[in-house]
Amino acid sequence: MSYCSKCGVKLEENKKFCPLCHFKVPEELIKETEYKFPVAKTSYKERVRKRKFRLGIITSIIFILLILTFFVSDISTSHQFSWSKPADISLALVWIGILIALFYTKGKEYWISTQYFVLIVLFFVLLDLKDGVFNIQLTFELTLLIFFYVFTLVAIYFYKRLGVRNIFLVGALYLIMAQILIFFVDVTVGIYLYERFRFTFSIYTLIPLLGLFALCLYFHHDMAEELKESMKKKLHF
Amino acid sequence: MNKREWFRMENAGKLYGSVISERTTTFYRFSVTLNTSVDVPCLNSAFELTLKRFPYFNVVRKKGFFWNYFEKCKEIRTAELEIFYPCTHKDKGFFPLNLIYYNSRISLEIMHGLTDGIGATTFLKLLLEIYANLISDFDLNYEKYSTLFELKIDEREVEDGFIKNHIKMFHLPSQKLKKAMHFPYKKNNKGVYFVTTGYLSVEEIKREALKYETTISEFLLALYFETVFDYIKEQPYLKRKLLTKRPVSINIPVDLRRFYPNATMWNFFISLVPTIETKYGYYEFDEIIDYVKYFFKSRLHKRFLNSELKQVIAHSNNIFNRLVPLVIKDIVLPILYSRIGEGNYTSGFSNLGLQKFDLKAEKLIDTIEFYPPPSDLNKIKVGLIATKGILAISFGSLCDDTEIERRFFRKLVQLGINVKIESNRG
Repeated sequence: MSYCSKCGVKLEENKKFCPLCHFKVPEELIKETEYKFPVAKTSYKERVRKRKFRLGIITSIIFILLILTFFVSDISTSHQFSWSKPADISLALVWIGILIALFYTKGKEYWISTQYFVLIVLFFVLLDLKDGVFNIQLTFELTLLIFFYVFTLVAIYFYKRLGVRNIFLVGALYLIMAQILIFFVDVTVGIYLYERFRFTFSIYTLIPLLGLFALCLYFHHDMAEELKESMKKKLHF
Repeated sequence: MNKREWFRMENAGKLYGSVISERTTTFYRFSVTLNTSVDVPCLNSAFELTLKRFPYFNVVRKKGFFWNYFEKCKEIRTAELEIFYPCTHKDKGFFPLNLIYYNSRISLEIMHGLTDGIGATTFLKLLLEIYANLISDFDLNYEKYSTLFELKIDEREVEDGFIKNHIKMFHLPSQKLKKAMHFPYKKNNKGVYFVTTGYLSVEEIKREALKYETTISEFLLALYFETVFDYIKEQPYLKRKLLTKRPVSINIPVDLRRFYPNATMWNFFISLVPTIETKYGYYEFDEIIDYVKYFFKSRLHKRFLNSELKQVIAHSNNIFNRLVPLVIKDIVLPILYSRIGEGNYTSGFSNLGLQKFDLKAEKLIDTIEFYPPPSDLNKIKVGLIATKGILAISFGSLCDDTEIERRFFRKLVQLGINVKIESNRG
């Protein structure tokens, strides 16, 4: 009979770890005995898979019908593929977006963001190319899109790295990033409209965001007691 | 009347029938570990004969326009090999009673909408008695039990205990429950339910309880309260502040058959909720024991129970509640149940007491466990059951964290009680 030396409880003979504190049982004490529980499955995953599959089929049918309706009515009225082009492109991309959301779930955050980024870029490019000429402004639209994409990747990285336990620290980092994003948008718009480097509205968002940032850090450092103590230590005169 | 095709759900069952979700499955489990491997053909025959004795448990759950109801099951029910986590469901409670086996364990999973712990243990006891007899002499005993049980329903067993025993003009309880503190643990994926059972000697725990001149149930409840308080006390400042905002309330189901003589096999229980505020400071163990003792003394009285019964009846008898279609009830009731039902409890603590089996069955049984039903808000619940001098304390948890279980069992070890732990974790 093996014991957990941390908890002081008896354990099943075939257990490699204490179920209470995960303390490792020495290998010489582990014996092969009959298991009381099977390696359990969850029926939930199977049910969700089926539900998603059904939903995917229904969504696909609806979108295909919509695209076809636009296409056929366009052809029958104007005898060419003209006014329904943007609607069809948008519908097709939204349909792909829904399918991505349905069939890619947990643990693929970077890959999903990349797919959505590609979809949005494709959306702009296709809409732009509808008259056969590529007019998109690389300096403005694409730069903003790339910046949003990078911003999303960094946000995911911070959340995955720090987790829900450091939620206030993650919040503080998101606030800094939000301010950088606002600066970037402000500057980009300034360059695009006035052709010069200038800050306008981003200055006004700086003050409340800085306040919130400080508050998040204050909460992260477990509020009052520890922070007060460390402030006293560092600032006493 | 004897060949009834369908059954109304009683008052508590109506609620449980509509609140089923992926996490709040309302299924609880009794697991019996035998000293030999399970004989599946014998178990199937025993199941068939037991269902013959209790035909109102051989049902499927169906949806009516206003309420769920039970319809006679037309399929032949058999025991299934265990493959899923305990107390989870694969068909949203279509079969409210399932028999499962694995190696030398027989488990009975029952939806709370069908019956309470007392109804379930009565079923389990007969099942094990028949199983033990079939193992010793199949042909003789199969014949015996087949003729013994007629397909006849005793109407007293299927009457609604709540309706029969409530007093029409009684007052509703004056004290309203407050929203309780909840454990801030992250829940695991849906469909996952961990159980951790500690086995200890009834004598040893009785010795400790007698030191405080209290019962085992009250002693263990006080210990559970103390465990939760210790957990709160050791949290960082901000978390502690948040946790102490709301009181610690533990839901204790109480069997009403003790107070209102009744032969019903449906649900017939109410919940008592001892509540301790932590914002005023922390309590010593002696103080908790005093509170728990006083609480049960004052509440386990017909005056109080009558008002609680009235409360149960008041909701489901309300003509407006009855006229709402089930489709809407299925959406609204889970929300109400978590907000004003489970939201008022920190955890659950069900004591099924000492169970005595038929002599032949008792020789077959090693241990018995009771796993409480999982709940979305009460992430950790406790279930107690004892047989043959062994008390099994089972923690059912939807979380990966084992802190509460660890603290509770370590406390018992510190009292000098030998505890053996079993779990379906890793």
